[in-house]
Amino acid sequence: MEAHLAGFGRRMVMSDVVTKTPRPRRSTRSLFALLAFVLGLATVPHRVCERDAGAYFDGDAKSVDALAASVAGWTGKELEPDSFATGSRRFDGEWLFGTYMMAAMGFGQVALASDDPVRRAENVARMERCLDAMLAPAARAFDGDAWTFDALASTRAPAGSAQDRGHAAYLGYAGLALGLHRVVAPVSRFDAAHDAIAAALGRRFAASPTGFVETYPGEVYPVDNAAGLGALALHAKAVHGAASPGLTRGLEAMRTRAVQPASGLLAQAVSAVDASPRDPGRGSGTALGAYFLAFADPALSASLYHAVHRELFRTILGFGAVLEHPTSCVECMGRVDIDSGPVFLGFGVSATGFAIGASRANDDRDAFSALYATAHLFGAPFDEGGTRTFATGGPLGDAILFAMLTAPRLSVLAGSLRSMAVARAS
Amino acid sequence: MSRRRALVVAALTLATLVLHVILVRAMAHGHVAHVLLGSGNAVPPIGAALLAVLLVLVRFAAIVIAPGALLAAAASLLAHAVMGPPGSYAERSRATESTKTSP
Repeated sequence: MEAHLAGFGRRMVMSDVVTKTPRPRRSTRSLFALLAFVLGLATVPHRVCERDAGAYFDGDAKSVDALAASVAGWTGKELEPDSFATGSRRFDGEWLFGTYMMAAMGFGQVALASDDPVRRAENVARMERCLDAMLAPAARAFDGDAWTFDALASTRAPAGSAQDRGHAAYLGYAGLALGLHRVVAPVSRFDAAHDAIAAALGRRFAASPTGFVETYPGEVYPVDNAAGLGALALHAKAVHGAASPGLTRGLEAMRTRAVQPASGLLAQAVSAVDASPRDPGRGSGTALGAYFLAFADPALSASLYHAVHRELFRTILGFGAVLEHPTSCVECMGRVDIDSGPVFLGFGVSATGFAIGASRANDDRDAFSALYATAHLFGAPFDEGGTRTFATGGPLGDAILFAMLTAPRLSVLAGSLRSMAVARAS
Repeated sequence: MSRRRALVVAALTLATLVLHVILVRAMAHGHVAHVLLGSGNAVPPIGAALLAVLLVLVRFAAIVIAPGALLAAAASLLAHAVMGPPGSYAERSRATESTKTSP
């Protein structure tokens, strides 16, 4: 019996060996494979996607020129408002105008950063094609329709007349691009239009009871005003003139009314009557405002960028993204509009894209790399024949990314403007 | 993961990477983003829409999932080389040894 039990015991041991022991071995293998998967997931994808970020941050000519060549391909052929069928004639026109404006900014920024006269001249020529298209009636129509009066015609309206108001978006964005052009090409056929736009914006900021200029009748968007303020500052630098009183007044309004005290974010819209904020600040407007204000008020730009970084910037597996709305605004969650672009899990496509420019302007290499990694993942860059195009971007996406990836760094911008002035004087 | 399964995962991952390259090229050459943008609120061309959706899925798999999948497959193949196939005689012997020597 004992011998029998002993044999049974041995069989039990054998049985354990055959049926149970391999399981931990399999588990070990599975765990090993799982750990390898997690290691790959956490360490490889964002590094693959951000591998070009350093070159863009440092302004590597080869990388930047590939982007510039691609955008020049888009803007070299004629785009029509029909190319952007958002379902709204106004937004189609805004996107057409925005494509040329952002492309012009990109070319201007490349020219500003370039020491090579040939490369600078090539980008100035590309920029001028965009400025011509931007000033053409087709690109002005969205604004003229809303005001039932053309924006450029309004710059010639008598000071203080009923027509000497508004048009902040068209005049602000166009003025900024024209100002950057004048910094890199001091004398050109655009000077008269540039002077007229800067004078009109200066008058309108100075005369505004709120310190803001309307984008459309009864609608005030601080980010559009930020572009206008950048335009005024660049005009003063380009012509070596004193800053317009409108610039001081507009910046003061921006600091005291549009920047939200608790979060430091820029309200997307404020009341046209008393400048009270219509929202608690948003990622897209604050990031784009930080980029525009880098040309006018570096301290305010830095303050807006830090607010975006503190309140809205997140990283997931090393990929950076920016929330469109602050988490404190529960009722804002899921709100999507033409400014935000698509929003996934609260992260905005526009906010993330514009934050690339704000982070470069404010010398934040880490955030720039993380944000670029996300743009690379979803933008799907495609390199061919010395060009780089973002397969999911189209003309507007390519132009915006071009402008953001070449946004002048604050530490370099002042030096570039100084050296341009010295070169012009000599 | 068995050796066979590891090889299948590696092959599928490599196929995904190749498909990804082809799709990005097709999307860029066809200016698909521009076509989709141009369709606005109307129903976009089915081919362009399918291509865009496929690219997003395949790109996500190729960039986010593929490195981990390849590493997992490599880890499994390494385990196979070091420890032998799961349930092999060598492994059972080692398991028996460890059972015998365990307190």
